[in-house]
Amino acid sequence: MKTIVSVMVILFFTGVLFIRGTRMSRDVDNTAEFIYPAAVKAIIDQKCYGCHSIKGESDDAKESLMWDSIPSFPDAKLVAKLDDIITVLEEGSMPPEDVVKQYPEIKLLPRERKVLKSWAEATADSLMK
Amino acid sequence: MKTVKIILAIVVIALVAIQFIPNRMPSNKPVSEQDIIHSGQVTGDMAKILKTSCYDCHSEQTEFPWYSKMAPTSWLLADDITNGRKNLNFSEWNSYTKRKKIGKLEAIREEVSSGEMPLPVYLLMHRRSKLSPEQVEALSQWTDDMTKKILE
Repeated sequence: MKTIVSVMVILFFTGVLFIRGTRMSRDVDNTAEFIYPAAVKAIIDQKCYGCHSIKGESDDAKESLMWDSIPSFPDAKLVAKLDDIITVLEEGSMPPEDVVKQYPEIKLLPRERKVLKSWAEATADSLMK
Repeated sequence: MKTVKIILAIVVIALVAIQFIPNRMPSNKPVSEQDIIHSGQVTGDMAKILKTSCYDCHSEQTEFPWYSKMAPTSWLLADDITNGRKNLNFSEWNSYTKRKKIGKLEAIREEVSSGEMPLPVYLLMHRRSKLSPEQVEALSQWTDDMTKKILE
């Protein structure tokens, strides 16, 4: 009787180990997914998300860029979109002047521009290895 | 009758006068080593499509039509060619970074598939530059292939 209980206990814990094992390997896979670094995410949320997300009012803005759909892009489309973003950051054309006039708090500061640009460049480069 | 003559005279004088307004028509340059076709990256039918349907505005080998020599049509052309070369210049293709190339290829696919390019106003006077559905499909496939090669 004792042996049976012991075997069952051992089997149970061995089983638990296997479950943990699969969970852990899934966690590892998840890290390969596209994630915005916190510093980048904070800037996007404050300065871009008002228009370039589901809550945006301008269809034009939503058609050009939706931050939430970027992570699901295939590599080629992702690189192309990052290149668009870099171009816009270099031109300084976003957020648009008239919108900044209305909402001065969304003005993109030089430091923030640099953070977004470095991130976009590094992300695009990592896809073209 | 007299009023008609006066109006005609004014129109003629205006047409002559605007010829003296300088415009900034971009000029052609010698074929560059950076050119996408000249450097051998695109050949055959695809090279023909690019030459016939894109190169007038998206390269430094524009074939200037007679109406590019006179105002007011020259103003429109100067604008379109300047913007065209700025956005995508096949004569400078090899100088683009890999990232820029992929960005341009994606834009080409989108613009051509949606029928936004070639510009409808350009097709008015360039019937043979109009892309057939098969050519659009071929161009789209070409952008995919080029992108894959760059990503490899």
